[in-house]
Amino acid sequence: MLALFVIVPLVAAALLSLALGKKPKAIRWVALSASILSLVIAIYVAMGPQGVSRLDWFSIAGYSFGISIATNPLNAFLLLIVAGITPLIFAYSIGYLDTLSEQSRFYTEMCIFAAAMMLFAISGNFITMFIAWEMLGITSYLLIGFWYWREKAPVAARKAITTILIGDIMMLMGMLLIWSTYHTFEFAALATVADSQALQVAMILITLAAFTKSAQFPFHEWLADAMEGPTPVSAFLHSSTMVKAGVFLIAVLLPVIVAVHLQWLLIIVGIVTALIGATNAIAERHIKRILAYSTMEDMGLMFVALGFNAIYAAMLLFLVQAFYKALLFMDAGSIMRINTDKEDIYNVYESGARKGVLISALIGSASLAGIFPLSGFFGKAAVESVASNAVIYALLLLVEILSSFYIFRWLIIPSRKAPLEEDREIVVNAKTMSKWMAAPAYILAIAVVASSLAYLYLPRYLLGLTYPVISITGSIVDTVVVLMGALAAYYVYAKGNRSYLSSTHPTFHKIMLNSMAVNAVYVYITKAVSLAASAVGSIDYAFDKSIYALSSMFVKIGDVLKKMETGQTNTYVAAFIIGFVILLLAVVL
Amino acid sequence: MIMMIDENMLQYALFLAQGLLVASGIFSVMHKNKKAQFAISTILLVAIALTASSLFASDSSIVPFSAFRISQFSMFFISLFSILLVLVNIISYEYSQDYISFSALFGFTIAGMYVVTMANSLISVFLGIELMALPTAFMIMINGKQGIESAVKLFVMAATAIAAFSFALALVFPFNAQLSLTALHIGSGQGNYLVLLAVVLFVISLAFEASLFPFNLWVPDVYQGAQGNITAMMSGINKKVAFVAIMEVFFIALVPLSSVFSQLFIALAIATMFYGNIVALVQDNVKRLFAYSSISQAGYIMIGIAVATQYGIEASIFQIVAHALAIIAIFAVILWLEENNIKSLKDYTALSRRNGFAAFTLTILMLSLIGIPPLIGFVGKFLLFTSAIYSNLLFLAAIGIFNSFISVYYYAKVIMAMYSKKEEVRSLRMGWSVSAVSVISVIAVLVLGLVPQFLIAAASQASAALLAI
Repeated sequence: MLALFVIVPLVAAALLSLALGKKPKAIRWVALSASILSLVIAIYVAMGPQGVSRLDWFSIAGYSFGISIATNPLNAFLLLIVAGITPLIFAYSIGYLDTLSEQSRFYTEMCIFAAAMMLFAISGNFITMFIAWEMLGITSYLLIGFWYWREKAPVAARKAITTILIGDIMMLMGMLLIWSTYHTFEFAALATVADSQALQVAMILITLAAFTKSAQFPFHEWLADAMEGPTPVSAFLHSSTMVKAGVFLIAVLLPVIVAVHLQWLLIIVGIVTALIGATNAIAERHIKRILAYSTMEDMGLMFVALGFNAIYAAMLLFLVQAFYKALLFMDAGSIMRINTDKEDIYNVYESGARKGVLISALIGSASLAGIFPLSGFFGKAAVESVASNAVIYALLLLVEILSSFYIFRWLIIPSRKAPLEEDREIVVNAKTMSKWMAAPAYILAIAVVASSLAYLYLPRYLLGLTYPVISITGSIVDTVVVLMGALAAYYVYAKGNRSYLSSTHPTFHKIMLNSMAVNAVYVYITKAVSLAASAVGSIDYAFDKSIYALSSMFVKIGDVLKKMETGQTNTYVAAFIIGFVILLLAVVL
Repeated sequence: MIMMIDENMLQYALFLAQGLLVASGIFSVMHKNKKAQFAISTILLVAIALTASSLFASDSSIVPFSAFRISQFSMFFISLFSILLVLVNIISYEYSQDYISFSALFGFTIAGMYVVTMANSLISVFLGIELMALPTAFMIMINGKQGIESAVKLFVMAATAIAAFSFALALVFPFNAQLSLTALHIGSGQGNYLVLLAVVLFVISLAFEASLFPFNLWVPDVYQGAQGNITAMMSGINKKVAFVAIMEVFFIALVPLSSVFSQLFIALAIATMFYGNIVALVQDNVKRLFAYSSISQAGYIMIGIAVATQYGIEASIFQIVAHALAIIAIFAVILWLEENNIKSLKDYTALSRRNGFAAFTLTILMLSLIGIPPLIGFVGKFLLFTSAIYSNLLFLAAIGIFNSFISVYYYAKVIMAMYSKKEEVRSLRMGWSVSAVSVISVIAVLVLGLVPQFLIAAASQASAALLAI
């Protein structure tokens, strides 16, 4: 239960930053120090005793409801990742967000976002998990729509919350199904219950809910649009919070999912999403959206690994992805800042004045692609090594080659030389860029390199077993594939052929952009739905109207009933006597 | 043996403190020292609360003077009411126009409440209710002309109700020549129309006290006419005492007739919920709106009593605490706002900018009344509705939930008004007593919502004690 204290500094900081609206400059320091304090507590918790502790909320008729805090290795693992990334994100925000009037709102929402994810990490039953789950959904909605006056931000936020709410409803249904069958909300108790039809249905619902949070097919649409939020939010949302919640939930519930034989669902959805993400990323030109599609792909790979019941492989990728994705987003934000907030990779340029950005971006990209000995290599190779199905293995290699290609495209295109007239502006911007935006990226770059060590320690820590060695052949195949992708990117984009895919290979580009026509299908679905709605006389409007009619009906009844209140005592006595007569008749007859 | 002495001493201490409380009210008219009277009455109330809770803890069951009964049930309510009375006393000290007259009447009212709560005979219930209602009517008169009208209304209506009650007493007395709650032995009353008439008379007179529809039309007028501190006391304590009386009369004396009265109670609960919530929708005066809101809350409390199981009574007791805690502070804030001439919904516009804490307090307490977790109101409604479902009264729970939906409409109207923006606002200073009561009740509503278990356990013991008598 002591573990719950990990969210206290952040919650306090959230409240404080609301109160400090008149002193915006102090807020960032409050938030940063609170996040560091949380990190210290998280380390203490992780070193502390393992197990699950319960705090009953209330109990009725023999059943008790309460929150349950788990500090198992898996929980401590996620807690440390979140607590470790949070201060870096907050430090980056200090440089990134300099509008004073936005400070209070931003840090309040960010602190609650981080606190919700930490609570999620240590939740030991469905009630606690659901509270954190909902808080994540609401705060992500607020943060994606942070710049609410922009054209696209509210739309993106609405899209996100709509998808997430679908997941929430499925989650609630799954939870209630489990409760009504087994009368328990505890994760630990669920592992030992007898298999049943209800459990299977419930697990399907919960898995689908996890897919909505982790942006898996067919709920992946919101993630790329979520780039409308500020960059620190993207970095946070993609590395350690929100999208990771779905994967982590499945990891916690993996024994149950294996027991009801749902691995196929994880594998198929994971590989499909990975392919959609990888192909979309190749065609995309928005500097942050490329990374968003890459996140979808990474999440897909984690689900594949979970589908093969290889929790260590999934968690290894989980860990290294957090570092390189946070790093890449921070660099993307820095590049955008240097280029006065341009977003198209063909319009932005790296600056020689900020070599650190370029170098850290190179480290991040190489890790994402999976180049030995960076941490990304171990994560991806581990996932490939557990794929026992030949088809899936082949598809994983395809994803690998695509991801290597798009990430080097992402890196190479902006790093070309800027035209003279723009170069001056870029240099000025680069020189004035806050150090706070660069420093967290350097720390993360070190973490990306250093987290290779996790390959040695993580399996023992999580499962108490030594790691099944990644085979030499597998490593060689992986490296060859990655280099092929990298070389292709180099050939296409760097070797004088800075070609626009859309003009040289229009058909190929179109297919890629539509990610196998999935997006187009979405457009058709939306159109069909809206057509159907208007055909039946706009269901939405009718629903709205019926609610309005209901409420106005009650108001009218109220008006009538109000007339009984004459203020005359004799009316009241009359009502008293009428009531008496009616009750008497009711009893006697 | 030591235990026995302890209990007896506590028992005498309890009666002594209660007597002193009444006496101090009378003496205050002579010495006219506001501060001293406030200090004495507060200390005595706290002392009574402590004594009663230690008697509750020692699980004693004593019948002193054969008119009273000290059980976990009565002691639970004695301590609850004493704590709530302290809150009323605090706001009255600052805002009552004549605190000395108030405290003299206050002493009598409290005596009436205690008599009802500890009653062991129908006569005690009868006298206690009268002792509570009459001084309350006089307290309302302190508010001047508007108060007198309300007081007369209350007086006439109370007379009607008490006439019904005494008629019922006369009807049940001949059966056994007994008025003790435990020795009434009225039988199941199958086909006996006199008994059925008595039951209906008991129901209507106590439904009047508990403000159930259609015996509650006077309630909004009286609540609006009385000064805020009196309104707070009436809705927070007087009405709750009426529920205690209902539980005592029906679950001790008239248990064999439960099949008869629980049908009536179900009908009354449904009618009261709908009436309170629907008429509240069209109110413009905020004090009147909360008068209807507390009527609807009486309907929710009735759900548990209508269910008539131990679990239902437990839920009702919990909801009584939940509602009393919220409504006293709400009427305290409304009292302070009325002193500043803020009365209608329109006047509440941008209250959050004029006094953020007042808006926050009202919002939290209203959310609790709606039943939003993690506030105490959620737990109360959860218990009530589950108790109905466990007794196969799903429709009753559904109607209760539907009514909660309706209620969101008018509570949200107030919240929206308070947090909407307006140019040029003057800030308002909150009176110390209102701030104190608000802080106490917001903390209580939050904490008891987060960790309700001990209160549920206490309510469970109290309801078990009631049914064991």
